[in-house]
Amino acid sequence: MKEIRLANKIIKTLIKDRIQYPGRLFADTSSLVARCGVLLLLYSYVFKLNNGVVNGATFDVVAWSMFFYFSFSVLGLSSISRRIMNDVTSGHVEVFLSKPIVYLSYRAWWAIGTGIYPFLVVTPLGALALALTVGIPQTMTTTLFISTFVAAFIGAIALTLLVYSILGLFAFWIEDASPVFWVVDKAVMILGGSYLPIALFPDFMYKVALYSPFGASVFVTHTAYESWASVWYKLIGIQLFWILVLGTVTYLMFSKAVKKVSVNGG
Amino acid sequence: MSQNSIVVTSLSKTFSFPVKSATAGWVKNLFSPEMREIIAVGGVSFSVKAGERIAFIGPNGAGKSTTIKMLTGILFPTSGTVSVLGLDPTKDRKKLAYRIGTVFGQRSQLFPNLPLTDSLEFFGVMYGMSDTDIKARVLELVGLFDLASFIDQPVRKLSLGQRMRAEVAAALIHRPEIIFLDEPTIGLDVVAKKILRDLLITINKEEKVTIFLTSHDVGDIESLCDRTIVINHGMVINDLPTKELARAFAYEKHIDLIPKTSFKKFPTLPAGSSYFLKNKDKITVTVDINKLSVQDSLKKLLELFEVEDVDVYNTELETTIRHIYERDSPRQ
Amino acid sequence: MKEELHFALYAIKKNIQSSAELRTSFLMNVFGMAINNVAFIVLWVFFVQSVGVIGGWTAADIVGLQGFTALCYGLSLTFSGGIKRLPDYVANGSFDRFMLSPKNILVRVATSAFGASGVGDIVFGVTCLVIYGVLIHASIAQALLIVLLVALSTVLFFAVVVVIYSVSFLFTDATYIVNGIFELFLTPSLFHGGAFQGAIRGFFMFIVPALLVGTIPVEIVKDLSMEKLAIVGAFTVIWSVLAIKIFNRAVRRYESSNFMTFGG
Repeated sequence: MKEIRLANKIIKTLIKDRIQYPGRLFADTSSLVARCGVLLLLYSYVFKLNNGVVNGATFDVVAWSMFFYFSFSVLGLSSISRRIMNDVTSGHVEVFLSKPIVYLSYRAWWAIGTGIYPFLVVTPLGALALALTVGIPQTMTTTLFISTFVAAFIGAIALTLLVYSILGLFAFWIEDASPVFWVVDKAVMILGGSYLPIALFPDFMYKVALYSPFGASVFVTHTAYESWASVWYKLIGIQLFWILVLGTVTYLMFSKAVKKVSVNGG
Repeated sequence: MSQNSIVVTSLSKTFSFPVKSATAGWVKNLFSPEMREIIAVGGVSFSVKAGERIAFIGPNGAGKSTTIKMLTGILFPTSGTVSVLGLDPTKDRKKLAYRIGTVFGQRSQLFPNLPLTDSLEFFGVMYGMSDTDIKARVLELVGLFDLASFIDQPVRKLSLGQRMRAEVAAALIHRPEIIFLDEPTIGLDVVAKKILRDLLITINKEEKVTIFLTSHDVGDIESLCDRTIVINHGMVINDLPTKELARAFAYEKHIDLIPKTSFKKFPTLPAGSSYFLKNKDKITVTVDINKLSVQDSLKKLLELFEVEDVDVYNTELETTIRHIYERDSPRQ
Repeated sequence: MKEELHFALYAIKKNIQSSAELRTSFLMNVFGMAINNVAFIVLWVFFVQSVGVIGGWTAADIVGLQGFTALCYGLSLTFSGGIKRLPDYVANGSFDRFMLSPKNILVRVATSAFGASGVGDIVFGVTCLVIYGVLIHASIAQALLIVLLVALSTVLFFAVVVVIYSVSFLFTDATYIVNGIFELFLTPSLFHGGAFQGAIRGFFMFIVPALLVGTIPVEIVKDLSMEKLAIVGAFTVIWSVLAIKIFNRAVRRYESSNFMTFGG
């Protein structure tokens, strides 16, 4: 199918392009080390003070949960917002509209394509380092984990792309949608369990993380916990729900946006 | 008989946008603002036959880009009809996209860090070409456009002239039937311009690609396009073969006077003529032939000056076009 | 010297004027930065609630920390926003115009751009420090210490930024590398200070001075520790000297190399 072939080509070409930039790989690695690494050091100390258990979670589980968040962020899917905003303000979106492609899916594959190379390089190395220092918690060795993790991961990719596409699409109506972007970005950061792992969430915050699309867009962080075994179907269900809802919103917004461009110019 | 590739009938485009009224309150301004309408294109009609080379020109703000956007399906017309390659761009934009190519002088569509071949293959896949077809086509384009010497370099390392050749090649990867070019020679040196123009003529002849070009460079128009459509204030004000354009609007002639020894005095010239160049070794006089015929002006000038040689010639196309734009400017 | 200062102030004023013209996006920038910073406070406050007091750090201290860091960042990068653009200047050759300017190059580069979003950080930082002062019932001595420390850490912060961004001269396009290093410096300075102990604390004080920006100042104010104050003062001087030396050395190296400018 042409769509798959094009997606494949986009990803391959962008990987090739990325390889030209070893500096960027360094930046991604140091970003991961700076945030995740230092956080893990801090939390290992914190857990030691509390006899290894905080809110029912052990350090290894928390460490992997945070690692999942940060390595997922290496994919950099949020870049789709900026790209859409730039396309609109520069007028480049019109060039895309004169090509035989579906603009949004083109941009989605583009976002994946730009992030996949650093992701595939940095994540295994990071995972190895983590496995050697912290070990692999028992919760991650079950078959349940391995199968559902992939589902949660794919769901996270889809949902993240949708959330950030909607943010980017605002550019068709608002001149500078950056503040909205920052608010949502921070919400995802907080509710995703990055700087503060989910285990340490107060009750109401956990609920918000659970039911909002912002939290759901990074549900991979929940997979390391013991509770995953009993709630995985609920969380994946929530992901699917939000994918459907936001998918519809995106589709509607995009049709409206194209109409706007067609009627009133960029 | 070659068929029409573009037919445009009474095409109009009106933009409406909200204006902040100084008198109304801010609530009204936000929710039901006064709308102002601008007629960007008001009733344009023309048709282009397959294989033609058209220059589509006009001053800035004339309605050129708006018209082109309606041809490619990016903008929907307010009224009138457009038919490109037999398709309605508002309904069959995607289908049409497979059969047209676009080049923007100011905007690159290539990957800057990768060699040109990667960009060409990328577009090939985008247009649904098979791998073998892409390979063959790339070879063809390399030969046609003489890209071999720089095809392996990252695009950002190319000179502007090389890059524009690359952009045009990329726009042709899928063998489109029409190619729209927006200021393709902007910023190029004289040699690069000539190379690009020759290439466009070649592909027009060999691949029968219709060329639809907008440019402010008169050289592009003169050497490349047999037909010129002039648009201003959203309306077509001229549509004729380029050669005739100069003839139809040239009301200025230049007369060069070379002195026997040197010119010492520069007396007042007869009405309808003025000094263009005042030099002891050469005088150029501009004559408005609507006011003073060539016969009369030569007679009067030869009474005023002692000359060794006389040369009479038309103004360049550039001046002619400027006159067309100026003549059509709104009454002050 | 006085001339340099006069010029620097003039350049800054011009920057502010041209930036404030885009008033709505300016306000939105400020708003956005505020949100950004508040998010961190929220996080660390929840952290303290879950995990309790660590290293003597309470939720109030978090507010103080964010205040110091935001203020340092805001002050140095608002008025000397040009430093962050250094990799761009080097990459597209526009750095050459600074070399041709009769003014001190570092000052010229620094004041070449105004970081509008930094104003949000400044407002936020001042607010936090005021709140912090109230929360700990600060004495006059503590309040004065806060002001002194803001000055010291801002100079230190700026010096470290200059050193980091001088790396721009080593590469043709150093944007990502330099921003990566900057992150390594900035991020730990935003973290809950009490959790840094032992070797990690040493590393982030003496090698990568992230803690000297906000964490140590907070502890100085809390404990009125003159010892730590001396350390901050000493390292501010050290890093400032380093910054000037390294920057000048890097510029000289740039001068003498054959830099290829890209493009047509």
